[in-house]
Amino acid sequence: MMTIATAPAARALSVALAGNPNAGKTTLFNALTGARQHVGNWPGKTVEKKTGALVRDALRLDITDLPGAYSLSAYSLEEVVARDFILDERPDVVVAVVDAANLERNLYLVVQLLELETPGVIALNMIDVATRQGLDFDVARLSEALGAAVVPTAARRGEGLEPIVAAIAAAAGAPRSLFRLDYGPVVESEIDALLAALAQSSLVLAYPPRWLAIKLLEDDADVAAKLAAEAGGAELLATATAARARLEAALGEDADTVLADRRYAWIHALVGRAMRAERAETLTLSDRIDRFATHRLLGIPLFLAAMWLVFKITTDLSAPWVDWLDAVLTGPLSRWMLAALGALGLGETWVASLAVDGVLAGVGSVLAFVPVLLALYFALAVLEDSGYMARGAFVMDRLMKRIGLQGRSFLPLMVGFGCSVPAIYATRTLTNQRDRVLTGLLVPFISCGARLPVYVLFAAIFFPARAGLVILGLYVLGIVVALGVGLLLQRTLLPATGEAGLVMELPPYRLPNARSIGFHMWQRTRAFLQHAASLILMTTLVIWLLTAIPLGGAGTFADTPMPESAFGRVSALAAPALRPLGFGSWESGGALITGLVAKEVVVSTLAQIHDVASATDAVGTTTFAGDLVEIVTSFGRAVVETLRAIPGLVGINLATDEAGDDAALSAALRASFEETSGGHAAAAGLAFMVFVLLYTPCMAAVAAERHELGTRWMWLSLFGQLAIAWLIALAVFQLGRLLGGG
Amino acid sequence: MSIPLWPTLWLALTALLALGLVLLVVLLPAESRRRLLGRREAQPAVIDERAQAFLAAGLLPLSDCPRDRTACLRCLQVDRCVVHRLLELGLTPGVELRVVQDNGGPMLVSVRGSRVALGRDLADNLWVEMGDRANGK
Ligand SMILES: Nc1nc2c(ncn2[C@@H]2O[C@H](COP(=O)(O)OP(=O)(O)OP(=O)(O)O)[C@@H](O)[C@H]2O)c(=O)[nH]1
Repeated sequence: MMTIATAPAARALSVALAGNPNAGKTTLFNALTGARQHVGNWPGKTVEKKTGALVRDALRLDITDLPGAYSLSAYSLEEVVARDFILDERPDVVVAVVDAANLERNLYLVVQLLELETPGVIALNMIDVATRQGLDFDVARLSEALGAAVVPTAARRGEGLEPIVAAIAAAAGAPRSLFRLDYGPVVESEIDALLAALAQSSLVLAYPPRWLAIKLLEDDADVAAKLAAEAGGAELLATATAARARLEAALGEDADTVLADRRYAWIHALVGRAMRAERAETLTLSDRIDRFATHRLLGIPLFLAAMWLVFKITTDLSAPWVDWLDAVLTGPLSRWMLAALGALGLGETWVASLAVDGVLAGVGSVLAFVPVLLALYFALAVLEDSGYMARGAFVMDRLMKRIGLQGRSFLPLMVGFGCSVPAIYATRTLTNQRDRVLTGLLVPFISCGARLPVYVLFAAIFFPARAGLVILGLYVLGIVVALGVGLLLQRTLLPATGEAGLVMELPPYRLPNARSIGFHMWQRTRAFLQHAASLILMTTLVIWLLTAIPLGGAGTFADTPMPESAFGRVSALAAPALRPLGFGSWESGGALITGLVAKEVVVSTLAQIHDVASATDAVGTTTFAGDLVEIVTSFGRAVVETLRAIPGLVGINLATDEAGDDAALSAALRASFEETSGGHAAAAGLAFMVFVLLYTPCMAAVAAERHELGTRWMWLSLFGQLAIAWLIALAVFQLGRLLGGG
Repeated sequence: MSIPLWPTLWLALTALLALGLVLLVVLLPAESRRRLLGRREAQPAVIDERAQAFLAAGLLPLSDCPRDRTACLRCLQVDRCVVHRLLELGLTPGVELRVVQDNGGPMLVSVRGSRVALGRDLADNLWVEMGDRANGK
């Protein structure tokens, strides 16, 4: 049966939100669309695309939030995305979101939007802030000069939303905008000449002619390319070059500069007429805070303290929740599942094994990242929203430039000490693709928290006297390798993009907004679940399948001893490649393979393979009600622990609760390494740790890399790291063998 | 038990490697070396005629502009791509600016009501006029 919509056919309008970074576009977008939104990427770009809908009576607005941009030229990814969307998708209305407290600079983009001749509405946002600063606007005059409705809004408080919707509906039906900025006689005569020349081109059917002429005068690469593809385009381009030369000769400045100057002069005059400032601009509160935040001596320590806080938030605040999820999944949930399957008569079969060891374990390894990511995105959103992130980039710029990165790269690398996955996602805050890729590729070399248990175990076995020093050395090695690889990549695949230098707006400090932080945390985490979950789940299932399939030997499906399973056989294949590194046994190979799922699994696999019963397998008899109570009380415990972690964020608590090494496992490992290394167990153990530090990141990190950097870079990272790990581990083992003797 | 000796050696090796790399980073690119040794000494060696002309005309590089004084931007001696970024942020010739922070690294200037951070190298190539005309008001 079909249900037929009885509502009258709603009028659907496509609306684009455009504006400078930090003008409040996203806040307005959230206020308008509420929860009805979709976040993805622009096709082929790492720029975020948000779409959502608003339904009012018979009107449906399909809203797209364009990336923040300062102008509509073809110089940055964000600008290109915004401009192509407006030119190619031709939205019915473009809403220009303007920061009223910073009107002059914001109008520059508005003027360019209006020159595209799409119907426009101007949201004079942050009107609350502007009013507080003593600014007073003549909205009618602004509206008249710009040829578009101007609506004061305060998106954060939800003020002015209804008038905006009404203005959008009105603008959609209105005739073409009559906006025309007069560039002065010299420029106008060149524009006219170009217009005449353009009349024969077919481009004028697709794009506004006056806009084309202006862009040709500006020598816009994108428009030039479009023109070159046309018949007779070459002549037109020659005409444009001549026009530009005449203009530059007449006015003594680049055409670019002249046009920008005229636009700003026009805007300056308009602002002078339509805005009144009660008091002259002085040192603002933001400036005064910046005296400290960007101070010569205080700046960097303050920033490092902030970074330390971010790091502690992502690790300490999330830890109780990761433990809680793990306890619930491996405890009650597994038991219930087994009980349910038992009731169906599948208790001891492969189905039960698949459900618990395959599916549930996979779901567990995905969910384990949720608290970590929520915590990271919380910290990032607070930093971004308050405006401090830009200060950090400012302060670190000089240091990070030495290694060919920008100031903002510091944060992902720092977060990488906690976990590579959020760190790779944190590269989003970087301002260009090249830096994003470079930082994203370096992050996995920074030793994450999951690798620590492996170091702790091995260092305790092989270097009991100097465990701490060895572990510290591994961290240092990770940083050194990251630096080296960074230098190598810059000289080969990712050359520096010109000596551009830092050019960045520092937005005023603002109180972070709880609602937008919540939105941010939820959307980003959901994006992770959508993109990475399948890959992680699949890897877990594949490994389960490999351990389940018997190859030779007497085992049956899902009930076969490790060495005789497909997994054991595959690991044995890997062993010869590991022999020069001193740990060429199938046991080590197998542990490293499971480490692809998550590095901390290496330890438990080693325990499992060496057949050391771990204490956690004691299955007590519990009741359903008891389990429920346990889940709830452990939830409460997690809350308490989180709260307790908050004061600890500031201090350094080197809690070494990782000390639970079994003697049995240690002995087994020692014997095994003694054998494979030909008596140089310590060297082999160190090589193993180095290998774990450097080899292919876990599947979650790989999935994050694919999501953020693209498939090509993901493969490079996968195999590149394997090669680097192998080479360095080889050097460590062989050197150790020579030096150590015994 | 000859084990305890060599992890120490290994650590020393890593440390050496680290030191070497850091030196490489800082010293190898000529740009960075100049930055490290201080540009004030390095620059006069290359006598830039245009810079001379600007100085003669009473202009200063933005990087020499004192904090909290108003100056007028006169000339942008940087590549087109960067000029473009500067223009769209409102740094057009003739605009008034004020240095808000100068901590030896990038500069923070106030222009058309917003705060823009500019890398030091960039600020070296933006020429401003201080004069009383700019500060008279
Ligand atoms: N006081 C006030 N603050 C606002 C208003 N609108 C937005 N904000 C705040 O301004 C900051 C930036 O807003 P966003 O919506 O993230 O800005 P955006 O234009 O989307 O910025 P990008 O995502 O960088 O392009 C946030 O801290 C908002 O809470 C407003 O009307 N009044």
